[in-house]
Amino acid sequence: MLRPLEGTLYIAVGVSQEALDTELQKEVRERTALLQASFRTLQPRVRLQVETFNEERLRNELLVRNRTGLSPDLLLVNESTAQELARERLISTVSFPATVLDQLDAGSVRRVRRSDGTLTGLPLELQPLVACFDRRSVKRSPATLSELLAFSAKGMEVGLSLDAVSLVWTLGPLGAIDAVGNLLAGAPATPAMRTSLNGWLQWLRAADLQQHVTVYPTETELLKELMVGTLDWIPCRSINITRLRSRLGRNLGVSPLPSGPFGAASPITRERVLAFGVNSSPDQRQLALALARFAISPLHQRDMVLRNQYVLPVNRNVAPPVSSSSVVAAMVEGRQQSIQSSTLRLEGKTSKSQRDAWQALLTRFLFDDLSQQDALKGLIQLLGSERSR
Amino acid sequence: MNLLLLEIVGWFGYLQRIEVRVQVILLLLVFLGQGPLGRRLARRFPPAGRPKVMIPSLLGLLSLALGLGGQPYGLLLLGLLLYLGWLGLGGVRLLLGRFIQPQQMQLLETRLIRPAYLLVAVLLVIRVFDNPQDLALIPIGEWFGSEVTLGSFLLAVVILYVLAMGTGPPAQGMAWLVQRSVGISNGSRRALALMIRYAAVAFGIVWALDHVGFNRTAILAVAGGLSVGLGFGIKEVFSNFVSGLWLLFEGSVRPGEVLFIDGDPCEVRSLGLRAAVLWRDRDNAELVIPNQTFFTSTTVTYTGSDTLRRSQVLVSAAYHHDPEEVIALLEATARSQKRILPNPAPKGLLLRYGDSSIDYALRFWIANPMDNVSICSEVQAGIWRAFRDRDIEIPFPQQVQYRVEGPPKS
Repeated sequence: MLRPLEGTLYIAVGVSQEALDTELQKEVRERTALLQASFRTLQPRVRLQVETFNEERLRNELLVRNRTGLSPDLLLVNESTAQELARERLISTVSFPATVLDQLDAGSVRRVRRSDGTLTGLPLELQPLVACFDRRSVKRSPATLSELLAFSAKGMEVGLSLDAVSLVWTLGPLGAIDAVGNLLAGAPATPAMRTSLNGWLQWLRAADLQQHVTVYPTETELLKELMVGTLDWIPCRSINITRLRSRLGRNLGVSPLPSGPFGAASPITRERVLAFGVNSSPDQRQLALALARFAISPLHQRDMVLRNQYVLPVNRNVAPPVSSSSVVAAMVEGRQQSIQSSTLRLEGKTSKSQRDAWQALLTRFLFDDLSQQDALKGLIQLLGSERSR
Repeated sequence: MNLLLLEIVGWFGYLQRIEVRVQVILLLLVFLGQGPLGRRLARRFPPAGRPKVMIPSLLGLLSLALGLGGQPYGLLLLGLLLYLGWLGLGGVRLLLGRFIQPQQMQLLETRLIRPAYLLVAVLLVIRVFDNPQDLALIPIGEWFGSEVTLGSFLLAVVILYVLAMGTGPPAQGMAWLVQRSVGISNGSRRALALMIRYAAVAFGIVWALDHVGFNRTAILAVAGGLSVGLGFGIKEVFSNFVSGLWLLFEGSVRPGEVLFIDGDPCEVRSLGLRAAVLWRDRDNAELVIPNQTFFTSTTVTYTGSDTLRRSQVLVSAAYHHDPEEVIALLEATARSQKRILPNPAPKGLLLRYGDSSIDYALRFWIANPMDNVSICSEVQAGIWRAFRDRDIEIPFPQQVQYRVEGPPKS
């Protein structure tokens, strides 16, 4: 064990297809370079080779790669993706001593733990959803949904994404989060559920009818439009703050998402985990485990937060600097909102086809191709349907 | 660029894995060792001597063995697929050979089909080691004020190559359609095809520069500087290129035209960027002549306004034959030749009174200037037969030598 580890470690980073561009690739490489630089202080003869993949196609990629013996040693993916890959045995499940896992956020560990006690991956970082806005046109981010519409009526350009994961934050303030959760859990639709979902659809329609509210298919478009100044206010994933900041500089404002009459926002915090490939040599596996342990160590987790990577640590011993940074404070608030609304599991409970169908349904609804009643009916059917995977 | 090199070097790290090493070694053994093994097996099983049988069989069997053993076998399978694909190109050649002429087929195969297959093969190999989409985003440098990525650069190069090599048949098709609808000549059709091709390549270059993201102002500035350099450095090349374009528009040296070069009629086969290729019927030679030559010197063509050529043969008859009878016979002989045009009518002429004969000329018109020599030969043979049938003598100078005995008396 005292022998220094050496070799090349292949890391696959899952990203959404529409977001993959040179800038994102640069960001991913920079982050890995930071990890590599720190890790090399312990293991100087290690090299990390990073590849970015469309996360939704990672399954097919691994089906091919595993057969050639060229699968990555580590995969940085969403927790839900890791679960799916582990179910199909496309990645290796791992075990870590309790002393390691005890340092981590208990909820995150629980979500990656399998029934046999092994883990689908090691939680690495949290990416909460927050509100991002351009300070040049928005002095203060709206605190409530009514304020959001009021500000937009006064000219604030608001962008919303119809992507299921990005839109869930509006369910909580409008009282529909429990209805969605229960329907996904297989409960029959009750009049109360219908009322709450109706209210949510009504708000969406009202927002869409506003002159200064624009609905986009994905979050990537929202980011681009905010960067070029077409939009003033958007909900955004914390990891994207780096890119927004590089363009907007000090004009970028970050705050928690608005609440509503029924409570706080209900965003989904994305949990990123390090999963393990199936083709690693014994040395590479040892190296991968060592790197994973290093990545969750307080040293690196603190480094991640302090170097403005705009993610929250999973290591409980690392306290995010809430008082010194309003951005971190907003991220922590976003994380709290997601825990309180129990939305964390929504992403994992829905399949991709369900999420696509959700988006298609809402698009038809907002384009007046579906009446509110039909949209409600479709939504209930969609959420109540058996998971397609 | 360093990033790309590091990425490629990084692929060798996969050799740390025993499963990958095994597959690579087996691949090398199959491709390098199939010869000796095949020769040994061929004594009992003759097809084993053929690599086309041996390589796929070995790769298939080894893949199966590894698969059954629960080991990764994808690299062997990829090797097998790529090899079968390469063999499949032979089938494509046979299939296309039914519709395309051999010479064009060879060009199509060497310039388009095989390079395309190699490109696909390389991408497939990269695909298992890396993510091509990811690699494509690697910046390879900052040119003309914009960051160029590997993907955009390679895509631009591939598109340009395909345009340069593959626009021939579509351009010819379009020119053919224009010919059918407007009724232009064959030479004009070929010229039009060439111009469509040049236009496609020119648009391709503009698109490629735009796609790569070059700063247009910077390109214009560099192009300005380059044009001065071009003017001095590769003046001849540039001059030939411009001459070629001019000649195409002018229409005097277009593919299909017949020009007179050093006394021989030659057909223009192609007009390239630098030179024109002409075919000489006499000895089946191809002449490569710089475009500039046609631009600066006199060109004799038989296909300028039409493709007709007026030709003539010379013949002599004895003084005692009536010239009118001889001329009528010559014209009748010409009219009986199939490849001589009836209109304008063949014309016999009395040229002069020679020392031992009256000299006549038979002038006639032919449709294809390239057939002149063979038609003249046929006409002269016909005249000989006609003269023989009518007992017309073709005289020739005769010398009578006297031996003088002793010195002259005076």
